[in-house]
Amino acid sequence: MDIIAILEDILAATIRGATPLLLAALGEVVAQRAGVINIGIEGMMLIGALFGMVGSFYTAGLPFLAPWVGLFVAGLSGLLTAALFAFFAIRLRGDQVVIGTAITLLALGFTEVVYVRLFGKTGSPQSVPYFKQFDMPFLSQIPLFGDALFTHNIIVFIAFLFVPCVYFFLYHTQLGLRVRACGEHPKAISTVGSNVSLLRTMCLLFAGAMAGIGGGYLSLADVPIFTPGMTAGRGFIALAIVIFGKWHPVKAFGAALLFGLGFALENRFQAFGWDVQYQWFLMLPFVLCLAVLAGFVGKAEAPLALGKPYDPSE
Amino acid sequence: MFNFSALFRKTISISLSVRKIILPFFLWILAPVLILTSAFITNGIIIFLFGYNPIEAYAAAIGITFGSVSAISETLVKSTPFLMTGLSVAIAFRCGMWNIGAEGQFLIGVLAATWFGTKIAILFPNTSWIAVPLCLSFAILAGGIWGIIPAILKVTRGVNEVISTIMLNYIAIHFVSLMIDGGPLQETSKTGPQSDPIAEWVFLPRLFEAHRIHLGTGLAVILAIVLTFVLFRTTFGYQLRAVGEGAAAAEAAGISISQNTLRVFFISGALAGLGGAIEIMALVPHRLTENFSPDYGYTAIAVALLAKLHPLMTVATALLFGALAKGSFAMEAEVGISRQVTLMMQAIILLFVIGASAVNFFRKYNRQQKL
Repeated sequence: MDIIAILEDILAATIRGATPLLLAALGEVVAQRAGVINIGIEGMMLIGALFGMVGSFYTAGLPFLAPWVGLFVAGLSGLLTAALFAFFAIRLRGDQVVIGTAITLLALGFTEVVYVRLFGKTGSPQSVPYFKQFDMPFLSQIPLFGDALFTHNIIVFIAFLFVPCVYFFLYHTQLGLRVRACGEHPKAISTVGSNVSLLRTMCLLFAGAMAGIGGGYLSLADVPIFTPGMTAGRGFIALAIVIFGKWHPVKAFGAALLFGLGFALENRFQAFGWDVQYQWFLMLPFVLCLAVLAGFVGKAEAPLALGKPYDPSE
Repeated sequence: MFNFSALFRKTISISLSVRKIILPFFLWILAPVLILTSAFITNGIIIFLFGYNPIEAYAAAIGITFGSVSAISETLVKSTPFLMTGLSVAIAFRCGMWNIGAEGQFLIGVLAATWFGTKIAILFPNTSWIAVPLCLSFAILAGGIWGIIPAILKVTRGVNEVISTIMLNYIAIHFVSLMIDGGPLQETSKTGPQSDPIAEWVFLPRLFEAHRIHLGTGLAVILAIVLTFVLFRTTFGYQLRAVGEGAAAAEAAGISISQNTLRVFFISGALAGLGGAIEIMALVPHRLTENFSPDYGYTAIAVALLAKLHPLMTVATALLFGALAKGSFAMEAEVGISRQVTLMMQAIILLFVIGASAVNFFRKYNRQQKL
């Protein structure tokens, strides 16, 4: 392979690897901006991945519609999981780290039990319609990297579109301002008449839906497959992306690409057939994550009220 | 004539003693029981919705966990890793450190014990009096060092320990796989992803010849007692708790937060690492395999929180989770529910513990832990 082909290959893989991370991280940016730290993304992604495939499987009679149904079901299941989180974190004001861990454990067990019940112990069903790659007309004809940038499945483009949307929402709408105020000084925003609990719940539901869609991407895009525990830490990496991206959607986009590269290299290096044990590459995204957090975070810029339950009666 | 006023006074005094003595006692015993019962019922409903028979499943689980002396011994054996990792989590959380990394620390402990047991112990054969304590110390050190990494990152770079410990868990899992699948610790025949069995003189002895319950279980219980003493009766323990209750206030009182962070993470990691070593040294096949830990480190969080982060109570909750883990095998074998149902069950218990802290009735029970 010549060098251009390798670069194109890695670039395309980076974008594919970054997409689920980006989707989950964008939701998490909004939730954390509202002051809720949602460690349960991993679980929400896993549930999204399972139900995305289930949704598509049961509507397989309509091959054009089925992946979309799957994606919708994935988002919905993520949203419902987030509702459970919201009940414990916002209504009952429990500790968010513990609830998040519980949600992830719950999802690990729940998805496997459901999966075994529906499909038996062996293998995914074969006939699940999924999102296939297609060439963006004209754009993919651009020489050099056009193909790598614009030949993907549709969710990739949707995910990228979400970046400016979330940015616009957070920084250029009144509701976005209120959301950010919720994370910085909930009492102040409550005094001027906003309902902090409601706003935070909404942001959490959004984060859950995005994590669910991110999970759905894993089981519905390019290859339709679900295996128990298939998210393999991507939810936690999305969490790190939010921190590395300094709670900003555009910077988080950059961070997601970096970690997408981590996952891409993991696959590519394995494919190169070097005489190195493959586990080194599996470790890569996580080591990268630690290094990035240790090297770049430094000054804390987290929303002030992040992780602190808000009691309206106080 | 019947003396109404005396009866009235008597009723008042009874109700007072109810409030002062019986009700607190009732809360201590009943609150966890109520939490567990509701969790079991909820889980039962979910099992039912999946189309299994929950009563049949629970009956199978109880039979295999407490049905006979050897069943009880087996349950104790199963509980040991939950106790060790539970203690690890409890002490870290007491200090306000969200160490989610017991999983990785446990695995690194196993890895150290495997390395010692397969490579180093060979150098001095048939010397269990020296090999066993050395192997345990080795695992303690390895777990402690793995545990102190997030503390160093937190103290020097301000990295959130929740994320760094989770990342270190994944790194540890892949590192173990690296060592036993193609790495230097793979079995000599190179057939499967597992290590050689450790040397025979590094095995932990059984407590009774007929049952599998071993020295490690006893060690874990002793550690729970020691930790209780350290936590509540020593200056060090007081400092740990002070940092956990309020870091700023503790610092104002002259307690070094960074020093306590480093210490507690080392101890926490060491406990988990020791737990790992005990597993491989006490139980057949004495080999490090892939998936050696079925999420002990994550379950430990539920174990510790249900015990209100109290080391002695952790013994009881670890027993419960050991029984759950063991029972899930019976549920899979006899009713066909996936074994992973335990993870779900643990999560539901955890959620009920959190939920209970918000309900007035349980306020007293939950006063210590601000969940």
